[in-house]
Amino acid sequence: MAKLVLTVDDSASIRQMVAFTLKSAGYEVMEAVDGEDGLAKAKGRGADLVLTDQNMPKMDGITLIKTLRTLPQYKSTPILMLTTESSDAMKSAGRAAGATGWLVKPFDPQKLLEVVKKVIG
Amino acid sequence: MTSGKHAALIAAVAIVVAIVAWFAPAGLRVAAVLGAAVLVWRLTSRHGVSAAQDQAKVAPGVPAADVKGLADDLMAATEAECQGGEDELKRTLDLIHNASGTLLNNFNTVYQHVQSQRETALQVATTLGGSGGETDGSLHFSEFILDTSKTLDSFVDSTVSTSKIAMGLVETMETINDQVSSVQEILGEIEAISKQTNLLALNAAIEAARAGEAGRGFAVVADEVRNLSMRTNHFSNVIRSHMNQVYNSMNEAHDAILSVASMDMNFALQSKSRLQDTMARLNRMNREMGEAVLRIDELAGMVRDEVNSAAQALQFQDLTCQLIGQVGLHLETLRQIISSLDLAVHDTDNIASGLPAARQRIQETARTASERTSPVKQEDMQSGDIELF
Repeated sequence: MAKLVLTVDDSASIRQMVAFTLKSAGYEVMEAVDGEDGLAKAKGRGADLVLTDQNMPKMDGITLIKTLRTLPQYKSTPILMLTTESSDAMKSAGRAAGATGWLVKPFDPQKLLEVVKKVIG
Repeated sequence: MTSGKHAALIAAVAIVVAIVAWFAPAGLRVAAVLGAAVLVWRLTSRHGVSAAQDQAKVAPGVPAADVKGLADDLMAATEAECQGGEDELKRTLDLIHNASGTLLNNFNTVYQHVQSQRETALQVATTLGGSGGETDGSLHFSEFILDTSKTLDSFVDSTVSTSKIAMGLVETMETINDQVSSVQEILGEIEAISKQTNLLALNAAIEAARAGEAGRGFAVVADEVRNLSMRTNHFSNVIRSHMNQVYNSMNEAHDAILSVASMDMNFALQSKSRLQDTMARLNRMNREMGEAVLRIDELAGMVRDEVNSAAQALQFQDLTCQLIGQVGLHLETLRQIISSLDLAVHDTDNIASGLPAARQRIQETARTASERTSPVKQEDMQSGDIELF
C-alpha cells in the first residue's frame, strides 16, 4: 500500500508541487493549508511522513511539530520542515521541537524525492 | 501658541514628510524630500526660526488649525497611499498565484503527455522488437521477419533442389528407354528362334509321315514342338505389346520431367536475392525504430529534468508572496508612525509633552520593525540546503 505523506503549506503552488512530485513516485499525498488544518488532518488519518512549512496563518510549523510530538501516534513519525527560513536559530528551534530534518525552499523535486525515500522508503 | 510649540510642530511635520519620503517609491521620494525642504524653509523664514536652532521658540502668529490641517492632510494622503499600496500588493499576490498555478499545471500536463508518449513508444517497440519475451502469443516483428525469411528460403531451396532431381530423373529415364529398346531386340531374337523351331517341327512332321507307322510317335512330338513354337511366338508378341506401352509411357514421363528440369531456375534465385534484400531492409527499419524509441526515451528524461527545474523556479511564487507580505508589514509600520505623530499634533494643549512621547512611540515602533527579520533570505532560485537531524 502506498505510503501517505501530509504536506502542510499555505502556498497552494508549493502543495501542488510537493503533491505532483510525490504522487509521480507512487506516494499518496494529503494536503493541508495551515498548521491547524494540518493537525486536524494528521489526527484524522495517520500519515507516514509530515512535510510542513514554518510561516503559516493560525499555527506555524514548529508549533505543529510540537503538538504532533505530544500525540502517541506521531511520536516517531518523520516530520520534515520545508520552508524559506534558513537561519541556524530557526533550525535549532525546529530540531528542539522534534523535526526530523530541514529543507530550505526552493526545493529540487528530485532531491525532495531522495530525502523522502531515505526517510520512509 | 508659544514659539516652542511652533518649533516642535515644524519638526514634526518635517519628520512626517521625511518618513513618507523614506517609504515612498523612488519618483515620489524626490518630490517628498523637496516638499519637506520647502516646508521647513517657509516655516522657518516666516517665523524667523532656523532648523538648526532646536531650542529656539517659534514666533507667534501661526494658527494651530493650519498645522493640524497640514497634519491631517499628511495623514490622509499617507493612509491613501498605504491603502493603495496594500490593494495593489494584494492584486499582485492574486495574479502571481493564478499564473504560477496555471504554469505548474501546464508543466505537469506536458510531463504527463511526454510520459504517455514514451510508454506508447516503448510498447510499440516491445511488440515489434520482441525484446520483452512475452508469452502472450502476439507475433513480434523481428520474429515475423525471421520466420518469413526462413520459410521463403526453404521454399526457394526446395524449388531449386526439385529442379536438380528432375534433371537426374531425365537421365534415368533415358537409361530405362535404352534398356526397353534392348529388351525389344531380345524379343526379336526370341521370335526368330520361334520361327526356326516352327520350321524344324514342320520338317520333323514331314519326316515322320514318310516313316509311316514307325514315325507316328515322332509325328506327335513334332506337333507338340510346333505348338510350343507358336505359343512362344504368341507370348513374345504379348511381351512386345506391353513393352511398347511401357516405352510410350516412359516417353511421356520423360517429356514431363524434362519440362520440369528445363524450367528457368533464375526466377527462384532472383526471388531469393530480392527476399534477402527485403529482409535486410526490414531488419534495418526495425533497428532504426529501436533507436528512435531510445531517443524518445532519452527526450522524455530531458523533459522530466526541465519540468523539475521549472517546478523549482515556479516556487518564486511562495518566496515573492512572503516578501510582498513583508512589504505589507512595512506599510503598516509607516501607518503607525504617522498615526503617532498625528495624535501628538492634534493635542495642541499638551503638545510640548505630547511630541516627546510621540517621538518615543515612533522610536519604539521603528525599533520593533528593525528587529523583524525577513523570512526570505534567498537571492536566487537555486535549491536550498537539506539537513537531516
